[in-house]
Amino acid sequence: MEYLLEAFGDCIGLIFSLDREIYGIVGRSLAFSLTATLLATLFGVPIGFLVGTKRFRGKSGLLTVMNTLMALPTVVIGLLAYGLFSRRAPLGFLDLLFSPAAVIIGEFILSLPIIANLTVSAVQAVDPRAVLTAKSLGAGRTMVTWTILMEARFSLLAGIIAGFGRAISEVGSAMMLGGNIRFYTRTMTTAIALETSKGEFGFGLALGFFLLLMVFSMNILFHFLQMKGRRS
Amino acid sequence: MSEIGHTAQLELRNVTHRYDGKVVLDISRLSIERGKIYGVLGPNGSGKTTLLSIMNLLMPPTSGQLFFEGGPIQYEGGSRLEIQRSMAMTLQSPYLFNTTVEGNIAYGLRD
Repeated sequence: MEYLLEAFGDCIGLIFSLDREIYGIVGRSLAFSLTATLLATLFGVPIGFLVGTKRFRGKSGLLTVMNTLMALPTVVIGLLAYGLFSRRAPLGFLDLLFSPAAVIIGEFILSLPIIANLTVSAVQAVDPRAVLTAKSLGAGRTMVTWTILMEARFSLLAGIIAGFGRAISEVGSAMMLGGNIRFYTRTMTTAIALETSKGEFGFGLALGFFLLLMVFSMNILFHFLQMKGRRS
Repeated sequence: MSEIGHTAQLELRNVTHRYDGKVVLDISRLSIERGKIYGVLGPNGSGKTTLLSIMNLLMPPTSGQLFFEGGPIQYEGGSRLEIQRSMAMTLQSPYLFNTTVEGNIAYGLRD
């Protein structure tokens, strides 16, 4: 128990240390995860919307695949992407391996199914009368789409938060695709893995607390946005 | 129901509608004339709501054609929106959007 308190104290110390490397890691983790989440939202919400609102042949099969993708192990994503981006691989010419872009791509692939699936659930939960009412008031296709998204906005935001949580907490693909390069691709999770493997358990745990604190702060921010949206 | 009328404001010709292959509506001709009040009666499942939804242009019929003041209504990229904005329909169970009162009232005024 004592080491937990000690690690928590170290974490507080890290926060106030203003250490360039620590804050660099934190900033990089946030930048990578937010970029990946933004991209996953841009792709995932339209995919989820189409799957959730349209009727087509093979829809239930597609939903099963999408649900399965939510459980993709991060290492498998890392492995597959590594196979694509390594020097002799089909996309090797892009020279992405061990770069921030590779980490973002890995996190994007992990967040996408979560955001897409939760968008499907969110739009399917919208009262069908919303669409009928919108159409009866003369809404065109764009306005109907916007109305459905607005009616589902709190659930959509919850899906985006879940996607962000998946992106910022993953370690497998960030390690394999980013290579954990200091001042370049090292993120909170890969730093924790490194410090623990070096025997710096306390420092790793302190970083872990820092990561939790960061995710907690982001969730408070999202929650605040949700509350603000509910009041307006 | 009133039948035929060259000055019909809204006219349905050979309109059918199917749900999962089952025909729920089959009307050879129905004319709605300006200034008249119409009532639609029928047992459950006879297609009253489907008919009203089609007449209010909320959905296209499976087959057949609707005419507004003599002109055919085009659903895709056509006159539907313009005509629909001159209609009103109160749903059996009204719905309020999850927004402000102003947002709900002004909804129909938006483009």
